[in-house]
Amino acid sequence: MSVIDRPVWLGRPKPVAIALKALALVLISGVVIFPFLVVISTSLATKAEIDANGGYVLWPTHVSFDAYRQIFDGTQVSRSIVISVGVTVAGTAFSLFCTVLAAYGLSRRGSLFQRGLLTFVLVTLLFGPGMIPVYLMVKQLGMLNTYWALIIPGAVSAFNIVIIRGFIQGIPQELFDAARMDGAGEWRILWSIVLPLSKAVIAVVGLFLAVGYWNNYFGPLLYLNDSQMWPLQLVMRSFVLENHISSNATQIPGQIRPPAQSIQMALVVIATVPILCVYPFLTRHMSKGMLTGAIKG
Amino acid sequence: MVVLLLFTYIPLLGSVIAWMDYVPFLGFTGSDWVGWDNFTALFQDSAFWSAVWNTLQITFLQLLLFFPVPILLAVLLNTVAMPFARRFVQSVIYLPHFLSWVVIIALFQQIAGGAGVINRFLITHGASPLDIMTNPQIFKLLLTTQAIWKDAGWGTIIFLAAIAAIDQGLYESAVIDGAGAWNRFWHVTLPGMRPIIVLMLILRLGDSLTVGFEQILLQRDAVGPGAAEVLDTFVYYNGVIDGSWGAATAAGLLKGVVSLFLVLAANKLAHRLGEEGVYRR
Amino acid sequence: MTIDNGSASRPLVNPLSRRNVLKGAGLGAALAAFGVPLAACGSGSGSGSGGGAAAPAAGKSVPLPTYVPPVKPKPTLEGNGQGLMDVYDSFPLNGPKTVNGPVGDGGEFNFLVMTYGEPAPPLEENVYWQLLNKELNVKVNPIRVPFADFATKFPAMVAGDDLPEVVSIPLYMNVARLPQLAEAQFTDLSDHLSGDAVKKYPNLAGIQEAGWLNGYLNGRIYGVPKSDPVYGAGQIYTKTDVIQAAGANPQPKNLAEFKDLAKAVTNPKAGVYAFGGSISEFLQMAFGVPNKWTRNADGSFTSAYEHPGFIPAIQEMAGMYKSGYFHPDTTMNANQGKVQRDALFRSGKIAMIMDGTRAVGIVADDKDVVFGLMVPFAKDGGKGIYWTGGGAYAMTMLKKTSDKSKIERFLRVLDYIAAPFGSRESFIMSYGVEGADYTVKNGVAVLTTRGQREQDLGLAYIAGGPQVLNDPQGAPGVDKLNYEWQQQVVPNLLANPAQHLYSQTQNSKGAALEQQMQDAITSVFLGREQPSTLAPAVQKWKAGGGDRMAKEFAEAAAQAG
Repeated sequence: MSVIDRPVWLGRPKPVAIALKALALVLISGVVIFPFLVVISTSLATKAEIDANGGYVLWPTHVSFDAYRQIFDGTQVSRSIVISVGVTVAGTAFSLFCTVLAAYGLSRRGSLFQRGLLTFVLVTLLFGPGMIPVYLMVKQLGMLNTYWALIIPGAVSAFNIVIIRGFIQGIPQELFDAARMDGAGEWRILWSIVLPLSKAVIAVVGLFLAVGYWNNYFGPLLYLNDSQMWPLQLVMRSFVLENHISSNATQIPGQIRPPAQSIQMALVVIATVPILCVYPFLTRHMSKGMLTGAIKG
Repeated sequence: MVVLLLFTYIPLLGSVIAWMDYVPFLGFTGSDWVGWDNFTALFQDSAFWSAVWNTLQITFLQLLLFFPVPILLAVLLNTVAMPFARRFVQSVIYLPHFLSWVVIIALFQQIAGGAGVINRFLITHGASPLDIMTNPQIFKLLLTTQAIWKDAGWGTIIFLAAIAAIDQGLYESAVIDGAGAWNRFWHVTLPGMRPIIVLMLILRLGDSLTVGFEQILLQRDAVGPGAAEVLDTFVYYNGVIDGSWGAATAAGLLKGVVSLFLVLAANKLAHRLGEEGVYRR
Repeated sequence: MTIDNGSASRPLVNPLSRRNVLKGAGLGAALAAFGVPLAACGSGSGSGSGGGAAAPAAGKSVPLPTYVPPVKPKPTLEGNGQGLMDVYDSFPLNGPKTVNGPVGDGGEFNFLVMTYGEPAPPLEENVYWQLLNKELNVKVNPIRVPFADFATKFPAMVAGDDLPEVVSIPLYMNVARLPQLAEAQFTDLSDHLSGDAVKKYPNLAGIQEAGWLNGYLNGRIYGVPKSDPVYGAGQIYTKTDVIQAAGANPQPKNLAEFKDLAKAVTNPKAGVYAFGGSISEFLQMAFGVPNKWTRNADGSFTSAYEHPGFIPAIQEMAGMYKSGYFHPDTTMNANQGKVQRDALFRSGKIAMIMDGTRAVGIVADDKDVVFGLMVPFAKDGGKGIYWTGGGAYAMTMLKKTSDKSKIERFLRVLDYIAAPFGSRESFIMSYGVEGADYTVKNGVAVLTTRGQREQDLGLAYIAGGPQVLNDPQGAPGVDKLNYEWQQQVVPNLLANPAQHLYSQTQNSKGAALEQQMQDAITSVFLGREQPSTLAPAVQKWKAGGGDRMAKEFAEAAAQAG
């Protein structure tokens, strides 16, 4: 792929415009990257350096992986990462399946009960149940202490349905008409027209969902009693909390820990990196020109 | 649908506790009914109205200053022709979304706080420090700035997807018609994104009584409840911390009702403008 | 949150940092429970009075368990019954056996416990856990709830009737209607523990009355306490090297000297400030403000907010803030920046911090840090009063059962867990398996990293008598420092007369009312409001429920006799 992928029909923009844009992008990236640098640096810094700098370090002079060692050594962190990945993948797949079907159904005007169902969905956008009633329902269904409790209750959200539906409605009606004329059924239309043309939004919603599942610690907190089953976020949370308290009932004699601050920053890094890996896969589906491609075959 | 029914609708029935003095060990049947007490207690409290007012101000400010940012960013990114640069920036700007508020506020404080980089510089050079983080007057702007930093990049993805869905043929013909960059933006990109912009706007309105709970709670002491008490923090301090389930649920229902009106109104407006909105009559 | 006038009991985490925790890290739960559609959720913090004595009496009141002093090895520095803690240089390796005969029956021992650290490794890899299972002859199975989330999970479990057999309730969590809850769901242990009956469980008999009072509900005994030191109001840690370098005295004898000290160490150009957060409680004690409530001669109760010293104490703090003695990010530091504040203290940018008694361990973690503890003084010189806590950290209860063998098994297990410092049982619980969990160096047991990881099962939080000061690997001299501070403080301890009384208003509205007062205090402290706004705030507090609390406490006290 060439460095520049400007469409042939587009002329070369003025140098000033390019320079301005570049400046804007550099600024924006800088403002974002700088704090991350601080986070990563602090996670690698030594206690002396953190203390000397009053809490945060911009560039550690002595790189130390103690914080990471402390987090991984003999703990459940690695196991919980596997659990989190599993729940995230399964949850996102299940949820995306339900959401796309619901959104497609609700986007076809005139289909059976479409209006009523739409209202049904929209109401949940505005009114939500409390924690205890949901807990009781999960219990009734026998999902307590199972991973189902993490995947199913939050799988369908009106917000995501509405967004995907909005995009599906943007697909030109002619395409559907043409497909029907060719004798395609609803499933076929969904499969060969809606899905390819909505790749971008499905990718986006998929990302929303994946991040949601990944970051969810509240579900496991409530539904999983066995700490061996905890996903990463909940295990991480116990680390974060541990570093927030003054001290602890069982004062462990002579425990020498890496600085709390660097552990905290290391936790941020560990909790963020895996979900970041998802992003590049999604951006691929978000390049422009999908519709053109579709129509031109 | 079944999932919605099971995990939203049936538990929604649990909202009856808004009319109860709910005590978990007594359950739904054992707790006392208190009629509208939970609601009237809210309405009679001047702090409640002040919290609602603060909430609406913040929502409005964010609609004005925050909402357009991701759209503009998305458009800007879309015009970047170097795929590497575009991917890079795209991947970078959504990073802050993953930082927790605790970390973000600590970082802001490192820079703009009373002992932050800016003020240290001012103090050591004999100037008087600037009061940024603890100034009730500019608190709402501060909140908005923090929110933009955290979530503007994240917000672009949905608009990037919207742009991606625009038919490239339209651009091609616009160029053939001699349209410049500005014209292409105005006549092709923006109309193409409009349905999604309207949709997102309505969804945001539906949420207008919810503004950054954690973000505000963390900074509430710095500026005081007069400037920082919003509906969610009010409910937290006046119901949640005492385990008053009924009162908290009542406030939740009220939020839903208000949102309902706002969404209906916004949707109507969208129809006037010829948009689909979320819901057609 | 900086300014917390304290709450009934604040054992593990001092009030200042407890609020930090709730805000800094514990928010998530509350937040998630809110969600977009605001769902109810009880979240932590409580200025709840932990237990309650004379709420509607269900049966006739029983005597508390008889106290039988536990066996103990000779301490390095001897404590006393008033709360001065024993100091030990090291943990005796061959302590006496305090539990005889079988403990459990091989069955499961599922218990709900609030924890502070990360989960211990699973049973199959955890030799410490395996050892305990063998020792106790039960299958120890903790249901861990991170402390910031306890107030969220607990009500859900109650509502779902999912509480395990054994439940440890931390007393600073404001559990809604604890006396009624106990009566409905937990076992009345009176017949097994009251009076001399407790002697069957010698280690439980070694728990003092102040602990038992927390589980003494409706005149019956519902829980076994995990005792807590009496120091409820935290202490001021002084960075003595910084203070001495500034030519000041780290142990002022009155308010004027205290202010001189603050002034001397503050140097904004160098980024050095006297304080890193609110010192409201410290000043209130200097001004003689009582511990939450006063019981008057006629039996009525008066709130500490009405004490003539309260408003001047806050005013004094506001004056010091105005003088620039506080770190400019004081509110932020307290909110989420405890970790950062401690870093500033260690590096000498903050000369004094106020924190809980146990923070000694954290501060002393870094052996290079030179620090001292400030003894409270009275405003015009002389000894200052010091507020005590509730006497227990948690009460452990047994789910309702009439099965005598179950109750006895429960008490036998807790008897083991409550074994006093120095006993064989307590050594096993603290150190685990030799070689894997600890090694012996020069006659002193030292935990390995593995040992540190493995032992966090939560057993340490559920039962126990008086605690001791023992930190053989910590900075030298810290326990002695602490001991000397305690010696100064113990003669001036002041208890909260409402500590073990139950008030319905306190239980259902106390936290919200307390928050309003704290908001008012913070506003004055930071100069947003005039000190004159405090008097109306107190009136509002009284009208909003403070008066009713006073009345309910008075009634409860009269009933308790």
